[in-house]
Amino acid sequence: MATTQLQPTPVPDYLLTDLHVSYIQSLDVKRDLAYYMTEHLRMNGIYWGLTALALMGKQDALPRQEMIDWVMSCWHEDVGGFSPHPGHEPHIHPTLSAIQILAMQDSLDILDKDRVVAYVLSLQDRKTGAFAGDEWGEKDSRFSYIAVSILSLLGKLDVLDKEKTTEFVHRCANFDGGFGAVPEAESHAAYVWTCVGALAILDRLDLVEKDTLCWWLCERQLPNGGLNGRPEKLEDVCYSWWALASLAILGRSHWIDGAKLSKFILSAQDPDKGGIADRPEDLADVWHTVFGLAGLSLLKHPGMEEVDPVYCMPRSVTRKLLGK
Amino acid sequence: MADEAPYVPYAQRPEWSDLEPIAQKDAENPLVPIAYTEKYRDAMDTFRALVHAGEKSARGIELTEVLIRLNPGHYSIWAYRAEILLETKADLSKELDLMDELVKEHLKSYQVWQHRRSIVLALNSSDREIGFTTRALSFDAKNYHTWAYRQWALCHFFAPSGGDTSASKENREEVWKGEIEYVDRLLEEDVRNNSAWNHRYFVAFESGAEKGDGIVERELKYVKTKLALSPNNPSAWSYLRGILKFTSTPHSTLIPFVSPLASLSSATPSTRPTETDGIPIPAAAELPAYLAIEFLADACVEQATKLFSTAKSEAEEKSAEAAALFRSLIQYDPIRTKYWEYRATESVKAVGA
Repeated sequence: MATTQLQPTPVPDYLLTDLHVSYIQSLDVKRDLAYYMTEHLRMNGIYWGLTALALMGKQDALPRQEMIDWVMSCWHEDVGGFSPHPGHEPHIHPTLSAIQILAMQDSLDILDKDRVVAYVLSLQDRKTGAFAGDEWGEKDSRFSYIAVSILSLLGKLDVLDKEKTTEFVHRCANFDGGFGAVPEAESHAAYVWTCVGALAILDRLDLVEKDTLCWWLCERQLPNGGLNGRPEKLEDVCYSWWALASLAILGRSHWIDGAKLSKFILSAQDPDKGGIADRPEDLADVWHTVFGLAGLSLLKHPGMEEVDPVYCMPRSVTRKLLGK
Repeated sequence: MADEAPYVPYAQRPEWSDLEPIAQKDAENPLVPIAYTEKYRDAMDTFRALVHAGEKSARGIELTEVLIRLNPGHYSIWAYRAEILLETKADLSKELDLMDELVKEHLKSYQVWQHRRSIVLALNSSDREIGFTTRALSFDAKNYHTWAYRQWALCHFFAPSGGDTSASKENREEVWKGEIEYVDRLLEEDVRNNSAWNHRYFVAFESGAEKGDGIVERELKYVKTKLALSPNNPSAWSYLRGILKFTSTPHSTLIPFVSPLASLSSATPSTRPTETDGIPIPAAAELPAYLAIEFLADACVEQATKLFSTAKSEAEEKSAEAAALFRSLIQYDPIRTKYWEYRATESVKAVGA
């Protein structure tokens, strides 16, 4: 009796651009349980999808005005911030994502910038310089980056207590040169990026132990070419962004074996439905898709638009907005 | 055979019939509703009605529990639940019981940790938190949130300086001593647990709980023992370097200890080092350890810098030695070839050679 063996589609070693575009387009169409369960991530998800498209030069694949209207439906006039989805409470993280989306859609002029600035400043702890995510008070260095990034994109960095803000970020530095979520927490590549990014915007990279940190960062690369987030953990495509962008900000991205990392990212693509996963053969999601693509952009993969390692947006957008 | 009881929407239940559910504005009805989807949507529609009415009640506590079990990532549900618990002056220790039960599935959710922190602060009780994080770490010994939470609980409730904690001095000392013992246990289980090493550094050098030269000596001995046992362990090398930095001790003082681990004479069993600084090196330890070679290279760079102003030719010799050692690492660690080449070039440049 003849049997047919189903072979998995082999993953090509080049970028499956068209498939990734259709994958991102499908995200808002497939209304399954996962779609409803991730409402609290929707604003972030749209930013990730839009950035992924922009870096492939395909930003037009999603409708512009509809997106702007949806973003503004999450604006909370009473608070001065954005929620991740209509009906949810505002928070500093979706507020940044909203601003990044509007910036990429060249639509920042519809924003009441002063209200946003007031909201962001209200979240700073006067004593420690740390920023909370919202009224509930969860504080960590992610929110320091987010606050600084928002103010920078809105051209309002001058109203910030830069010294106090820097003080907290600097306290997150560890003995191994890395940075953690809060003072004394373990060094972790994602928090390295938020701290180094914040310090870059604040023009205080002098506080970074450059040689030690860059050594710690290039130590994230494993023999299979992928990067991990801290010693003795597994490789994950998203660290292609956190660790590599940090190295790029510090001018040392060549300390990573770029060819091996590219190969690793490309091998994590889903050859049937598009999108990129955390590692080969796992399920793709929009988070790993954008960070895999952003990593490839940093590695100057052919056909990619240049990404800004500090803002994780197209360099063309930040250059125009910030004038540098 | 009994069928599973059909799902009854909230609006049809007597205790909920007064509340009219608010559907999602853009919700589309899927062609084939899945039971699980139906339960979640119904609960969310009811939750929206509850929030819209501003209701803070016991049934709200019930409903939010259903929702957090279905979707632990949904931030607004946690926030509203916390509001209800605090406003209704609910039994917060019962809430901690629930959190204890749910922790295994929720380890990676930011929200659950923030929620626990809010409850614990309202209760102002530290009794359970160390034990809770120990249990959570038994599921995932490297969970980032758990370690950060443990450090927060230690500093908040058992601050070594006393502050406004109610714990007695003896109690506090006992707790911090227990931390060193706990980390030791975890490193026995997995000497490569970077989180445990980080916590050890925090307890020994950053918390202020331990003071005096005895600590440094103890920790140096500890890390040396672990390095002899497992010389290819990046966390332990980081820890050693951390101690040297903290105490401003030159790398060169460790050369006698490190050299056997960098030994290139492990080709035959008879020439392989069996101990270093009196600490046995097990047969299973892989030698040479390239991280040991790196350490020796850094020591040479340090020495070259020191000699530069007084003995230039010796400085140049040392820096050449460093460069050779860095270049030798390319064969052990080819993926970082560019980094090792950079270090080799820089070490020679530094002495103007």
